[in-house]
Amino acid sequence: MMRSYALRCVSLRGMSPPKATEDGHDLPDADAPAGRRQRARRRDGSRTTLRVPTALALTARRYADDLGTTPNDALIRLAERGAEIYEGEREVEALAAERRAAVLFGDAFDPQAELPSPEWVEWAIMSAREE
Amino acid sequence: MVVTAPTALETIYGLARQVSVQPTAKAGLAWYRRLFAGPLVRVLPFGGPASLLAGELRARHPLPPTGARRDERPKAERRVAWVLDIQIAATAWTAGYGLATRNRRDFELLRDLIADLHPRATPLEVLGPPGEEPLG
Repeated sequence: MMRSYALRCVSLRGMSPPKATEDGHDLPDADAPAGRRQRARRRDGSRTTLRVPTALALTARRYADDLGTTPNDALIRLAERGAEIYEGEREVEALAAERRAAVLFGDAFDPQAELPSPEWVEWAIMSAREE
Repeated sequence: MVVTAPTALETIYGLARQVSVQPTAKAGLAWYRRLFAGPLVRVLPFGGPASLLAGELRARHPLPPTGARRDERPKAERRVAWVLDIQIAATAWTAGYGLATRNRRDFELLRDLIADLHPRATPLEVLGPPGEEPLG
């Protein structure tokens, strides 16, 4: 389930992306007319203005062309995809922390731990290979 | 995609063994090696907490469960597979993941063993292939 994000609209107007990468590869012309663009659906949330890195702006324009939407809408969609990944990672990390704590300090932790004899340890380890 | 280190181990082992009897399988082995080494797949390591848990799980259930359907594999092979399954469950669980598997029955047993050992922690989620009904 995606949450509501404060970021709603980012202006890409007035940006002048480079025509080629540093190693000489051509980049898509940001000023070229896009395919059939549709007006983006209206979103809830507050408006904001951001400085968008050039590489991200180019990706947003390419994605917008692919989807037939506006660069702003494409940028929000990219942010939503990234946010979904981030929330998933947070969820996994929270579960991992809870479970690691259970193994290392939780239910199996015995405060009366005591070093067993070397002979007993050797027998215990070898028994795992004999079964 | 995320896989556990024991899953990568058994996949590469199976393919590498095929190469010795069928040289054309080399391309498949190379493909999987590249997949596991590349950015599309994250291989979860079998780390400290997973090894502690796996040891306890094996002690609680040292032998593979006897299945309803006949398993044609030799007993020794089933035992190796069971130890790998224990490592897979322990790796996924301690890393915060659930498991998607065709062998739901054995992994649901491991889920229950983990829940028995650590009743206060969130249990392992075991998913079968898409469209499969949950086991009763």
